[in-house]
Amino acid sequence: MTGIRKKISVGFLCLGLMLMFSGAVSFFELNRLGRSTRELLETSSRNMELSKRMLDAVQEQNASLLEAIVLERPGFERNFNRAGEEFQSALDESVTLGEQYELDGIYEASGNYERLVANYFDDTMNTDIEWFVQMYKTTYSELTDAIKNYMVSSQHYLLTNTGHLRSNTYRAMMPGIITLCVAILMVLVFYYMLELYYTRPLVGIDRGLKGYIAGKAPFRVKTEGHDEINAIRENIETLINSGRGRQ
Amino acid sequence: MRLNVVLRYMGIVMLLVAVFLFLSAGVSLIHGFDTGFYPLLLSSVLTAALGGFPLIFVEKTDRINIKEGYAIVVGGWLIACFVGTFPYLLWGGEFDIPTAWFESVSGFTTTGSTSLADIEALPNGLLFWRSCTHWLGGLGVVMFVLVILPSLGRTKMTLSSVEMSPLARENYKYKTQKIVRILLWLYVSMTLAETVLLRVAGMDWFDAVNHALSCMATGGFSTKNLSLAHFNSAWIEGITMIFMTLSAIHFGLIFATFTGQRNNIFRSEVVRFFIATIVVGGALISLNLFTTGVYPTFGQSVRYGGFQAVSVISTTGFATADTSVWPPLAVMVLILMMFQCGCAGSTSGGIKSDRVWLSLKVLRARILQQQHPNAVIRVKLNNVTQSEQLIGLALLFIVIYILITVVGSIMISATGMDLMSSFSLVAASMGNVGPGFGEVGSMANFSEISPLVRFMSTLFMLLGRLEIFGLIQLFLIKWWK
Repeated sequence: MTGIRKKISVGFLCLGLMLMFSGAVSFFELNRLGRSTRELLETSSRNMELSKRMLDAVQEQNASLLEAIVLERPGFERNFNRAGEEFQSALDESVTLGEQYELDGIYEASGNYERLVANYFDDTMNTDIEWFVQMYKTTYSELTDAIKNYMVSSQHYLLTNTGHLRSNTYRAMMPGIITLCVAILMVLVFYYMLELYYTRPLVGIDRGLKGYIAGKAPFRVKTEGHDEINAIRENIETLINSGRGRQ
Repeated sequence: MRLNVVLRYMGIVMLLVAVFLFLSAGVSLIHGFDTGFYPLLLSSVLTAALGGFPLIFVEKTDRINIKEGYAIVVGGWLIACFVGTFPYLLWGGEFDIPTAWFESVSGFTTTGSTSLADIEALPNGLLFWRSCTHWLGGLGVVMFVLVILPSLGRTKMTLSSVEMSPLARENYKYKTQKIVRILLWLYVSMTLAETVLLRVAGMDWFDAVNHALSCMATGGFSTKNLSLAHFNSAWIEGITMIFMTLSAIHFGLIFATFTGQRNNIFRSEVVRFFIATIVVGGALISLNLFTTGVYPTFGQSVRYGGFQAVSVISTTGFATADTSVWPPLAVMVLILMMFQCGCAGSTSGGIKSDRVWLSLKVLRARILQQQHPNAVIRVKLNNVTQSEQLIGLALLFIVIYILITVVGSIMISATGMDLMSSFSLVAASMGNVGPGFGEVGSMANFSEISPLVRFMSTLFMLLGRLEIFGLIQLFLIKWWK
């Protein structure tokens, strides 16, 4: 590349592209970080909501069953089944954030609970208080404990995941920082090249011409490269030499 | 000194590094677009942009003086280490700035120490990049640059005189242009040969390529946490031992041997001395291991003792056993090997067998001189009389090398590290060996070591790789004028 215009244009273009690239990379990474953080928080919040729905549904089932056993009210199955559907729907919507076994625990406990209650229905609703205290209460507690564990695990996962978030922040920042460092290095190199190839020779030509005009010194200027600055120096030398020839 | 010319050549070094970063991104792509792809591709683009920038302004030149040559070599090495950190930093994981710098310097200087606790967690693209840093560093970034440079002639001679020790230059009987071709031809063909042999011995292609790249550069990076011990194969160890030994021998002599010339490895005093050191050292270690009961059979003692002896003296640093728990005699022999290392003109680091052999000859000559004060006793190497200046330089190098090791050990031990670990860390870093003993043993890594010690260790690696004077001169302000 020999022309000044081309060199400077390409230099600026490179710098511009690098800065644009740096900005784009930072924007993209920060966006990605923001998205992943939001997704994490939203999932956690949704799971809290779903856990609450599951607990409410199980409590509803429990209340219906108690009503049937203690008050011996007819038609409790409708409420019980509606609550069961609500529970199942909340469970199906749940997504695991941490360990899968927390969710598996709910599936297992709810299966046990459903089987126990189904057996109770099949046994023509025998209101045996021993059954309620020894079997039902234990199974019910296991189910509610599993839901609570799931709720806590989401929060616990968020807590342990702060390290991940920190590392994600680091990852988001690093491309921007590195690109910026490269851009700064390029600016320094660009400044040095402009100084070496254009500013210094132009100042030298100016001084050399002034010195020559004042008759103090012959015109002797050194330039780097084969561009227009060099051509100017050569032309001035030719001009001076032709002037001398005429004299 | 013309800084613009230095910047141009450093730019070419960066362009070469960018090509290998791009290749590594390709490896990531082949391995199912692994997590290393994006960091490697971005690093490749950034490095190419930074490297190509000076080329816009600076025109090519054939005239490079010795100071510029030094600056290009040292600057090229430093800038390669700098841009080599990009993919690590962009990938994240275990990499913070000190870890990435350590890994990059350790790679390009072919040291092979790692500060990663779990190497196997890295994606394949990054593992390949680590091995590439060794391979690039092994032949010397600048030597590569010389091959692709269209402007050769005097330029090459100036640069190669900095890159190689004066003894290596003395030994070469070819023109510089031919040296570069020979080095490349040998380097590539031996890497390919080792890759195929390792594949046949049981490694998969990816591991075989990575270990071959690492071994040819006498580096030591492995794709496995347990290094070569992971494979537990006598065949793999045997093949690696052969190539580690070859990589530590003068490349010009290997070429001469293959082409049936007189000046071959069998006639070289230095190679004979180097091989004798391996045999004697390996035998001493094996006997010591067997007699102290470290290994139940003599065969096992020879297998592990011999491998570690070759691994250390060639400055490769692959491990098949935990040498930190070996008896004192074996450790002492390995430490001495860490200082001597391979031959000049190879990818090996350290003092070099040439200088050690020369100093032994000088010692013999001085004793003879005292017995016969009027005799004219010349010190010859391969039947060539060595000049007093060359001998002086070789002895000065040994003295400064040992002095830096001692001072370095004191500095490292001041940070609280025990004496054996400090000393072996500095010796292993200066010699570009990799693992030392104690906290930095062959089965340990630098992940538990403080960032300050790791940074100091990288300085020793660079000092060793650039044969001390190269790096020191760059930082003398008077030298720049």
